[in-house]
Amino acid sequence: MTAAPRDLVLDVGDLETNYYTQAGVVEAVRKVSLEIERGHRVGLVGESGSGKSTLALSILGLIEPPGRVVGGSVVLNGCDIAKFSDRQLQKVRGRQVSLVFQDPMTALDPVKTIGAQIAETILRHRRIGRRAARRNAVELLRDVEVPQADRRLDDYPHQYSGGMRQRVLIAIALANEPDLVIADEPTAALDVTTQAQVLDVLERLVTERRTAVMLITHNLGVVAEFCDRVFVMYAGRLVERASADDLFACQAHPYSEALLRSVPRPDRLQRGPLPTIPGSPPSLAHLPPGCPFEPRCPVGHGLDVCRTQVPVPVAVGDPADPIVAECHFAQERWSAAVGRSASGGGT
Amino acid sequence: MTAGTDAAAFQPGIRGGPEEALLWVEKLEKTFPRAGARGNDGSDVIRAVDCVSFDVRKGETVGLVGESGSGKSTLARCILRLLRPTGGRVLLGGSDLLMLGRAEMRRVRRRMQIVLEDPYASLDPRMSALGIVEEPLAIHGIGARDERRERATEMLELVGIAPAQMRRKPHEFSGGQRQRIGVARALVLHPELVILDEPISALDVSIQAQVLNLLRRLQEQLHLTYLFIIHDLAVAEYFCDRVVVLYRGAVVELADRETLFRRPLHPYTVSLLSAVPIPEPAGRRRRQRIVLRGDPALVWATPKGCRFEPRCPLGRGRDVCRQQEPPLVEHSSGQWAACHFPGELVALHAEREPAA
Repeated sequence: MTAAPRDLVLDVGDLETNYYTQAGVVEAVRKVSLEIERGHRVGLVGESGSGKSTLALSILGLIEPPGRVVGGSVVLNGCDIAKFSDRQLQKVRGRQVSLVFQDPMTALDPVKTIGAQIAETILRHRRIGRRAARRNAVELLRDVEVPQADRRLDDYPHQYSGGMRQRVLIAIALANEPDLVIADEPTAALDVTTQAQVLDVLERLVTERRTAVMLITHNLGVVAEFCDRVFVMYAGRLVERASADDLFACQAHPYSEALLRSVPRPDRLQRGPLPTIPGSPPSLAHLPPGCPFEPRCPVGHGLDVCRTQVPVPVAVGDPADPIVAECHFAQERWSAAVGRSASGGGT
Repeated sequence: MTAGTDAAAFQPGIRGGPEEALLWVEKLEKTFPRAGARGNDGSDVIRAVDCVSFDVRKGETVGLVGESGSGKSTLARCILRLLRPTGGRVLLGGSDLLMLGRAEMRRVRRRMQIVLEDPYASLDPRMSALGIVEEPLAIHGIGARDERRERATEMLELVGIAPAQMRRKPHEFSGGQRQRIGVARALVLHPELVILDEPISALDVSIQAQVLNLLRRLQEQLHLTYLFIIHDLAVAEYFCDRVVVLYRGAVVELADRETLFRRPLHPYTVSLLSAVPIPEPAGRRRRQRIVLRGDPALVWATPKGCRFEPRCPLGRGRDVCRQQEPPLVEHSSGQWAACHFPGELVALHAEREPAA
């Protein structure tokens, strides 16, 4: 949003993706713009069906029929890859940008050894011999803290535990030192202890390599631990974007607030019912005319302005690093939050 | 040790006698034959549940927490007798479930029901919501057709499914609604004990809160007792009155929720707690996380030692931990832990905020 020159790895502009279904056109990603700087760690949060995964797949050019990217640009390291052919994209994927899937059991080939799968990724983008690729694979396994890496290279995926398989996927994603890794719920299937291991490894490696990460998750705790910026997605739009510190301190969008409040906090002993978000997200084939969150919104439900007018992005706070929220009340909500913390209230 | 009968001294983890408990689990054990080579302890069995004792009183919610592979679900299935335990006793309202014949067991099953994690997989896709909730009544031969329909309708309304939606099939519902139907199916028989096996883990955070609120409301309305299997410690802390921490099939700590979360004694409990990410960036800077190395399924303890020793930040390599399995001992009223150095690994959560 500012004019200061920044080292952008990814600059997405007005990206639009639709699914053409029997029920009508589902607008899963609706003119989304976002930027990710080199080395930054960005969290993308929202409920299922908000379009998080579709956004990720659209960035990578992996949308398949009945879906189609119908507009916008995806500028990766200065090149608009949205206009690339499949062949061109294959050169980019795995080399400049890579993806870590949620489920390592389906993402790994069960009939190939772990070593072969890592080497394959390396050899696809680099002209080195098989032995060099194998040495490289051992190093990568060591990097992700697989014990006895040289021996475990020739094991098959089923011989690895869930946490180790997830770390193998990270090794594969980082094999060619990409500038951006998109990780789609990489720890959702794991125990808290294993999740902590995996996040630790990922954090260490991306810090060493200055790799940017877009972490898609519904776990706000993971976002707070790992990310320095957060995008909140709702009904195909990024309804709020802010630094992690700002977002957790003050949610300019009521949806972000509701999402945060509905999570039990392990550091506070709570009783009584948890605040919930009534209803469910709108159908992306039949969006309401005004704000998509209005029917569920504790602030704007029933208000004329919210029912009839789509809110435009509003920037509040520090002009150099503002919170941007698509809410008619963003300014008021932010001022109120600042007032609360100034008066020493807080929550 | 605090006051207790002699019998209680032999059954660590249990309060009072079986007559005070709705569910009484005593030295429960389940072994599976080991496929292939013997384990490093030379045995040819896997001890999935290893001498577990605890009790659940009427109206209480007891949480079972631990990593995958800790034996939580096996334990639940042994209690329901969906798996046959290899040792120990399970008493429901005083009757010993392992001694019951087939017909008697069927009658007792009505009194305890389970809600499963995955509402997509556990509901018959060809049946309507109403049919799904009616079915247990028909299986147990309760009421005439009209009566069953009425009870199922009432139950569905109670969990928040509108009459207009009751003829729909599972795929026409959202994940949260499907879990509500799963809950209705479990509750339609008016069970006393409900085992909740990760009932919210497959749901979105906003929906998780709805289902947790529903479970709590139903508990009050219907006087239910819950045994709650959950790997999310934040949810356990929010929802449970007492918590049993399992590690590799055995109870390593057991306490009421406030004691357990404020003053955990076992290093495994402390490590588990410190691994839970807190939704507040300031928390990341304030506290220090213990990252447990190794995988519980791959790290083997010495045969006679503490089962947690190989991964323990406190006891790894210590002689006493390698050579002696620590017994489960009551350290303060109602707080039990199996550790040679209880309470030595703390500090990390010393800064916990007061109740909000």
